[in-house]
Amino acid sequence: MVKLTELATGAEGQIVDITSENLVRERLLELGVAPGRGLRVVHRLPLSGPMVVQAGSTFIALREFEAETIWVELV
Amino acid sequence: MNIENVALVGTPNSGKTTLFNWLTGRKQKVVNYPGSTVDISMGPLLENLTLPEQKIQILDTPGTYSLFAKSQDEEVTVQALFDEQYQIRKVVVVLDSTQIARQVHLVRQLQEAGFAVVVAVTMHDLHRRENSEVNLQHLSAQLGTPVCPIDGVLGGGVKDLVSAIEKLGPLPKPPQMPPKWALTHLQEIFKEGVRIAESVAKKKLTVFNQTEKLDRVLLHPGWGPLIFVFVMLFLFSSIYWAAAPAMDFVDASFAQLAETTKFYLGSGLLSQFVTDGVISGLGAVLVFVPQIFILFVGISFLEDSGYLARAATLIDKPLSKIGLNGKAFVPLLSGFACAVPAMMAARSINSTKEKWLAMFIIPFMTCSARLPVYALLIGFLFVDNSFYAGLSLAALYLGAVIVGAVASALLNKIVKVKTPSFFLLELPIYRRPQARVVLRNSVKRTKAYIVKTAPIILVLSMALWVLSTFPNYSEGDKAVRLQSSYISKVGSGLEPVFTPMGVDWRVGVGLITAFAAREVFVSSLAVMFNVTDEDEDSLREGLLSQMRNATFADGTPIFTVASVVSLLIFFMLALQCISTVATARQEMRSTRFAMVQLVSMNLIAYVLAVLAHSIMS
Repeated sequence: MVKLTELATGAEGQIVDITSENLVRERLLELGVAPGRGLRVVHRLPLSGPMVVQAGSTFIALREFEAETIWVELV
Repeated sequence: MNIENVALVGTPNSGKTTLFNWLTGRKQKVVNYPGSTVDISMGPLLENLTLPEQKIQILDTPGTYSLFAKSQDEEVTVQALFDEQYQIRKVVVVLDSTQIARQVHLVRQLQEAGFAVVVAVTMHDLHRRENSEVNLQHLSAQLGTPVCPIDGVLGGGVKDLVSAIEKLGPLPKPPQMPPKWALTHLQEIFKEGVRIAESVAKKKLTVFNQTEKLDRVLLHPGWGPLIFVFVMLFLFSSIYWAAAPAMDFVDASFAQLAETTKFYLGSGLLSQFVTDGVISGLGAVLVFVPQIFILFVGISFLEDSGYLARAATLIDKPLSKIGLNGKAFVPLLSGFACAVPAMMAARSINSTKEKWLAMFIIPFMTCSARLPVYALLIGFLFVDNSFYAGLSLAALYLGAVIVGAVASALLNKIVKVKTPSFFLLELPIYRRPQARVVLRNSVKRTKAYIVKTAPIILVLSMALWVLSTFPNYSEGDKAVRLQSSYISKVGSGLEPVFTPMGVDWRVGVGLITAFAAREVFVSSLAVMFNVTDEDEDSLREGLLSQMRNATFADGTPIFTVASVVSLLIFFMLALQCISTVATARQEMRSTRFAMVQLVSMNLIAYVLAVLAHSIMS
């Protein structure tokens, strides 16, 4: 199990757990990011800027701070 | 007869406003950016869609991911839904058919609240284009609601939707806000959503691959930021070079109009009123409408394509350094058109502190009202050198951004409060902007701009003409007439305030009238310096040559490099706009915020303008 931030661009993982505060967990869920679901790292921006992931058919940009709370199992 | 309010609710960017326009025949601006609707719009249902005895009014709401709001625009929706003044019983959930899984919980929350729900399925064309069908019957059975497909491009399916709305039975009791869902419950419903989505639409769409491919370039670690800078440079420089021919045309037309008026009305008082008070006042500002139009075209184009969400993502890291968030990018960018809609767009910023900071610096962004002033003053500094003129315009735009950034960074340090901040932004798929839509939106915005400012300019120009002509109206020498006029008495009293900036009372009066709207400064100068006396075939040339000849009582010129630079700095930083102050007060629900902003910005502007003048002269 690794943090989402440790995934390389193009890597896919299955979400195991999300440990951020409830507000962010809720919003992630509402965007389709939830434990049990697959996730793919699509783009990463330089200087530890936001990364873009695809969950289902949604592209989501999120900060490293949030991405660090998403724990995934590599597929 | 009772009017029934029906609300359109859905996740951001799901197509609510497009559907609203089809249902009501309105032409609300539709934008490919999540969070582009921040307020409720209302409109009666088109008559040909319903029976004469039915009175239905449609409410378009800001997008929300759930009934448990996480930002102010989402709160607007939730409050409206349960606001007894609207008496909403029926809700149309606008469901993006490419994103079914994560929208089911919104349907469930509205059902739990007790609304009668119809689901309108949008983005259907994306499925059809790839020969993939959404099993709507199955979707309807799973959700337990009627389901109507809507063709956003052609408006198909709207009639069926209306009859589905009409068929919904009365409710046993008014809807009520459901108790907050536990995270585990949300998770369960989300799983249900995934199940439903997988069973109704089996084929994976390739439209996402195209978007991903484009983003490989536009969000590329190296190319992405470079393209972003290039896009912004192109947008703001086009204001200058793309608008020039149209500006010359407008300018010449007004000069011609003044000539013709003089020819028919002679040189009497009435003729002077029409040419000096009305035509030159209005013409001085309307000359810049082509520039404003070009700016709107550029922004509309970006909005429709879906690029704005990428731009917000690219700029998130730099903005976080000054206490802001990528979500502040779109409000700040719209601040280059006008601070009023920009401040309203700041509702979509989740964190209170970030919203506060964004609201504070939005007026620093160079709004379209400053453009006429800049163009005139830069035109004075660089007569025939359009390269330097363009460069100094760029410097003013950039300078204002830098001041805004410094202000935000400082305020971020001073205000110790920390509010939870997150950046989670959905990136919509790219869509090719339609020229027709871009032009229509830009024409609409430009018209709104003219309608908003033209009456103010007209009234103030006429009033200023009267005040600068009377009581000594029969005096032939216009300089003597102005010296003995009413406005001179008021203006001379205030002159000590403006002397440190290097200008006389006439320019001071221009600065004061600019508080009604910044561009009034230009028309005020045009009226007080009697532009149409010059026999130029361009009003602008006439004003510039009058400025060159204008002197203080002792014969020293008023408009020098030092005083013009001082004026430019003042306009760059000052908050001279009553509408902005009113909007700030309303959006922050704080008179104090609006006053602190008004006083501090103008004080800084004045001090720096005086400083610039004393250094340069």
